Amino acid sequence: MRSLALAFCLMIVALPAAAQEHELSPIRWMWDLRGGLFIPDIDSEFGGSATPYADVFGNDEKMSWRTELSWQFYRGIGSLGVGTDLGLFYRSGKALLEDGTKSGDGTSFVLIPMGLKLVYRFDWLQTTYHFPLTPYGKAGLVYNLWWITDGDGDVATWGSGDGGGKARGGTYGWEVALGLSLLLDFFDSDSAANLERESGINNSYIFVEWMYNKSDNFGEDGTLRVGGAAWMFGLGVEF
Amino acid sequence: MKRTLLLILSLVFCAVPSVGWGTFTIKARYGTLPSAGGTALTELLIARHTNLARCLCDEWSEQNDPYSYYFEMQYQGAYDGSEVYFYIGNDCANVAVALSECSEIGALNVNSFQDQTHYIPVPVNHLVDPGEGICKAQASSSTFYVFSNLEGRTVAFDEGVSYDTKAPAAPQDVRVVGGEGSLSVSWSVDTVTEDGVEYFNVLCAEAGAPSAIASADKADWVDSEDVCGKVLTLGATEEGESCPDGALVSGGRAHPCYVCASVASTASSVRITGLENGTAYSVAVVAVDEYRNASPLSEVVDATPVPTTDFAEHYRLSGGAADGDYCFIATAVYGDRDHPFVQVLRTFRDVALLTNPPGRAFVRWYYRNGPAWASWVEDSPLATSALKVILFPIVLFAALLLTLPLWAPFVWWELRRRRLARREVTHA
Repeated sequence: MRSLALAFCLMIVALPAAAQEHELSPIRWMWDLRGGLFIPDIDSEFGGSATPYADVFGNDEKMSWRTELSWQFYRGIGSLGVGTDLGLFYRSGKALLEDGTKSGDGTSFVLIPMGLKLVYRFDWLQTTYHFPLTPYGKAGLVYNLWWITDGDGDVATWGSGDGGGKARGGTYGWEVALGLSLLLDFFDSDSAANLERESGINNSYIFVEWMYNKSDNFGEDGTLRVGGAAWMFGLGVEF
Repeated sequence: MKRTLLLILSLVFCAVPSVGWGTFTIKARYGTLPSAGGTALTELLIARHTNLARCLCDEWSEQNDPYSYYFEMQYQGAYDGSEVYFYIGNDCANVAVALSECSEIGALNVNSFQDQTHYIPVPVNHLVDPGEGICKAQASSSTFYVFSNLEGRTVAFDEGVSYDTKAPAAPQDVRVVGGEGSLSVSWSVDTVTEDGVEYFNVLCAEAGAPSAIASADKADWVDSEDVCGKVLTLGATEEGESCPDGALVSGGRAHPCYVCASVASTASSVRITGLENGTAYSVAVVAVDEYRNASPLSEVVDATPVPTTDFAEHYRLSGGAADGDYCFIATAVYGDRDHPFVQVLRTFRDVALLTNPPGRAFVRWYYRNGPAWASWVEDSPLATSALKVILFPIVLFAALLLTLPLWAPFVWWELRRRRLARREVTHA
C-alpha cells in the first residue's frame, strides 16, 4: 500500500514535466456528470420514533445522479463560476402488509434536485505549475421536486384521512460540496491537444467530492426532508 | 420456432421464369374476392390464418371456403396460348416425385392473364399437408409452383412458403403474490424463449368459479383443440358469454376466455388489478408465439389480494407531516386539482410563500376565505372564465420564479454576450 502511494505521488510530480501546454482557447464553461450512493434523510423527521423510509426501502444507499453546467466568470487565482445542476434519485420498494412484511405491490420515491451554485476551483497550481490535482468547493440553493408512486405506478395519495391529497411536492434547501479533481490531460497530452482542437474541450477531469444537502424548507414544519450526504464520483470537462 | 414467418407470399414478389416466359406476380388475399370486399393479407396474417386452419381437412372446393385464401396472380410477358398449372408441395419439380404427392390447385391458359388478375383459391390444408391434409404440429415449408409443362415439370415460377404450427412450451415456476386489489404474477422465461414466444397471456378466475374478470379482447390465440373441432375464433369471446367451467384448473386446457393480462415476451411478470381484496383467485400463464400457437396451460396457482400500505401511506401513518393539500380557487377554475397550472401554484405556495412570515400569513388568510370563493366560482361559468384569464399571468410568473435556477444563467449569459457584441461594434 505504501509503495502504491509512493508511486502515485511520483507520478503526480513527474507528469507535469511531461505535460505540454496545449490550451488554445479560453476556458469559460465546465460540465460534469457525477453519481454517488445516497439516502434521503426523510426518517430524520421522526427523531428515531419511526423509520417509514427504511421500513419500505431499506437502509441501503442507492445511486443518485447529477449533472452540472457552470460558467466561470472569474479566472485568476483559481476560477469562480456560477452553475446550475439537475439530478435524479429513484428508489423502489415493496408496499407493506398489515403485519409489516412486504407485499407484492411496488411503491417508489422519486427525487429530482435542481440547484443554483457558486463554484470555486483552485486550479492555480494546475495553470501555473501543471499540477494535475485541483481542489474545489461549491455552495448554493437547491429545490427538490419529489413524488411517491403506489402499486399502480400512479402518484400515491397520503391516505383517506387527508382527502386523498397527492403525495408530491417540492422542498427547498441548501447544499455544499468539497472535492478534488484529477486532470486527465496529463496522462495523454497529445490526445488532449487533439480533443481541444477538434471539439474545443480544454481539460477533462475525473473527480471525487463530498456533498451535503440540507433540504427541509429551511426548518419549516410539515416538510418532507429530502437532503443527505454522499460521496460523488464523476467526469467533467472544461471548454 | 425460430422459423420465421410464413408467407413471403403476402409480400409482392416477382420471379424471373424460365426462357420464354414473362414475369409472374402474386399477392395473397383472405376470404372473399376483392370485388366482394375481400382484404389483402399481410405476411403475419397469412401465417396466423394458416395455423388457425391447419387442422381442417376440407375437401378441395372452388367455393368460397372461409378457411382458404387466394393468390392474386398477374402475368406479364408473351401470350402464346399455353396452359400453366398450379401446384403446392415439396420437390414437385422433380419428375421422380409423383404428382399425387403434391396438391393441384388449378390450371389456366396464359392468354387469360391478359388485362386481368386471376384469383387462385388455396385451401390451407393443402398448403400445410400437400396430398394428405393431415394435422401436424411442426415447423416446415412447402413450395408453390407454376408449371408450363407437366410432363417435364418445367417450372415457370415457384416460391417457397414456410409455416409454423408448433406450440411453445408452457411457462414454469409461476408465482403469485397478493397486493392491494391486485395479484403480482411472475414466471420463468428461460424455458420458453427459445420457442419464439411473442407474448404471455395470464389467465385468471375466481377460485372454483368461471371468470368474471377476463379481458376478452386479449384472447388472441389459436387453441388447437378448438381448431380441430372447428370451433374457430381468432377474436374475442363475446361479452356475457360464459367461460367453460373447470378450464382453469391444473391439467385443464388453456381457454382464451380467462385472459386477464397480456404482456410481451420480454416480460416475466405482470400485476393484475381490479380484483377484490379477500377473494381467492386461480392464476395460470400461457405462452403464445407470433403465429398465435398457444402453449399448454402452466401450473395453476391460487392467491388472494390483500390491503397494503405504500410509502406515502406508511409515512403518514408513522406521523409524517408533509401534506398534499391544494389550491381551492385554482382547482375550481381549472376543474382538476392535478391540473398543471394548479400544481405550479401549489408548488409556488410551498416554495415562495410558506418559507417566510408574510407569505405564511397570506396562506392562512387564503385558507380561511378560499373555500367559500371556490364554491362561488364553481357555480359561475362567467367567473370561471374571467379567473382563467386573470390567473394565467400569475401562473406564468410563478413558473418562471420556480424555474429560475434553470434559465437565469442562460439569460444572463445571453445578455452579456449581446453587450459584448455591441461593445465590439462600437469599437469597430
